[in-house]
Amino acid sequence: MGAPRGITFEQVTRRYGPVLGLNDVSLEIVPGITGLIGPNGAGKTTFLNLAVGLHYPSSGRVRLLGKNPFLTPEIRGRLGYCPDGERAWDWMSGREFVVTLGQWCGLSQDEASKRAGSLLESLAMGTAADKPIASYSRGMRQKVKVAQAMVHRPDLLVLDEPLNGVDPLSRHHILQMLADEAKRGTSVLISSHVLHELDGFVDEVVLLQRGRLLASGTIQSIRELLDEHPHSVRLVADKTRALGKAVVALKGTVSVTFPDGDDLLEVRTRKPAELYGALPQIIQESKTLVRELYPTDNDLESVFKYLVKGGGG
Amino acid sequence: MIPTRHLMAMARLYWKTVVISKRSLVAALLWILPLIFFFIAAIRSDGDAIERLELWKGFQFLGPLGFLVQFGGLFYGLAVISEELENGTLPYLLVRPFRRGSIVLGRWAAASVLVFLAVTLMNVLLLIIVRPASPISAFLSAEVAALMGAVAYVTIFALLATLFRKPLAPSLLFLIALDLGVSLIPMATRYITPKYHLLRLHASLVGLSDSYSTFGNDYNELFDSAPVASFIFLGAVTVIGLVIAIRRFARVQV
Repeated sequence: MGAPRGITFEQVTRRYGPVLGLNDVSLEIVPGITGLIGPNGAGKTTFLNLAVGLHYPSSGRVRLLGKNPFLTPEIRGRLGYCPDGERAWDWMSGREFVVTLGQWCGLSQDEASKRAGSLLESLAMGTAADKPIASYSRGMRQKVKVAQAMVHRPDLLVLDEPLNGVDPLSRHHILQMLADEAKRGTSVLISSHVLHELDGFVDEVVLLQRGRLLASGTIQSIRELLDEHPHSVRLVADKTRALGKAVVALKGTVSVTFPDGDDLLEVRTRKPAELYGALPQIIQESKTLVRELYPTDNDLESVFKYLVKGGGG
Repeated sequence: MIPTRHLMAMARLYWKTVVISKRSLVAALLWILPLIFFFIAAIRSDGDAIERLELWKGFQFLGPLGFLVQFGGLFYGLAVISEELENGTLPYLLVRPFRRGSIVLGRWAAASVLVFLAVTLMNVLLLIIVRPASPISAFLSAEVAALMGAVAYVTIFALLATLFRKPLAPSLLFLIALDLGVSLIPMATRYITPKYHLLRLHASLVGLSDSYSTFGNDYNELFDSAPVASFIFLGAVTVIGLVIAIRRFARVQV
């Protein structure tokens, strides 16, 4: 059995006086890229603070790479953490900030400088890297915060809303770097309240709402769990009426509509697998030319809306 | 065992952060005030070099030891914990592979050195202004008292910073009402104040030949005692205070 590589929560509850920050959460964050999604106040930062050892749970057990993060400083050398907010030592330059924090994780001055230079270059910091952080925009601050979390090549990266206030190009740079890190085998846990930011980027999602765990797993697996919510598929085709007639006879079909004239067919079904299985034959038999076929609610936003509005059921 | 490089990393961060902070600006102003007072006193003094030595020894109570150690300890001692907490940068330290004790110890040592250096620098300047006879042994003795005072006061205020979320008001209350106020009352209660013991240690070490007198309260009993009790008192305040501060900080959540 290999060494633990992720984060484990076992019946973790965290209270702030009478307020419940996190309520009886049990889950395992596995290697890969995991998105921690929830609206403001859902408990994302509490979750991350517990995961990295900034807080300890009121009850339950948290393990970071197999150890208690609050009591085991050595394990934090394998952790890269990018906190929420814009706070940093403003008198330092971005480069000095990244180098200093790299040295604190055991890197030599030379090694830290080399890695900081390469990271800041990848993040397109340019000459701004040598200016004081006090003069930085919000996006530049986020970039140096992400760089300091990655400089010592940790086994696990935990990032609290790292894309907040970041322009699209910088967002691309940051996500690209995180994807590269994940390819190298680093586990990445990234939080966001903006769902589309992480869409298509994460392997797994953890959905939090009011301190409770709503769901976790791949977006597809979560979507499949929601059998009671019809799955919606759109087809752009030339003979949508004929297609609709065939599809409506399938088991699990809830409705067939033509939202934008005869070229567009929208099918809502409780059994998407059956629909996708039957479609090739239906298309062939009806001699229809299908130009596009796409699910309309397989994205994070739809999953989250379903879970929050329906409470998962 | 706490690695030395962790202590040094924390000390360096403390110096770099605190020296350029507003705290140091305030501390610098406090530093200048007694210096001006001494300068005027020295100009008005018409005694010879030996009398000027007594003047220098006695005025320590009003300047370096009685003022700078306390307020330096307040500003720099609170910063041991509060600086990063207020700046919101503490998470960067707490997620690094440092033991929490090494964060407190490294910063505490840096603060103590800073206060001690400030007192030493003021003492050197005072010697230049007052020009007493044979000042070396008195200077070294005063430095021992200053070192004991610096570590004790930095510890007290670092501890207060772990006890209160906004520690400035309780710290000023401690400094003025308890430490200064009670130490001036001519009863046994003054024995519980660090100020009394710092004064007594200094008086014993430098060998004051005249009585301390502050606001009409003579401190003649100071000269009857050996400095050991005060040495132990200030040492105990430092060790116990530091242990409690480290234990408190170990539970800090940000």
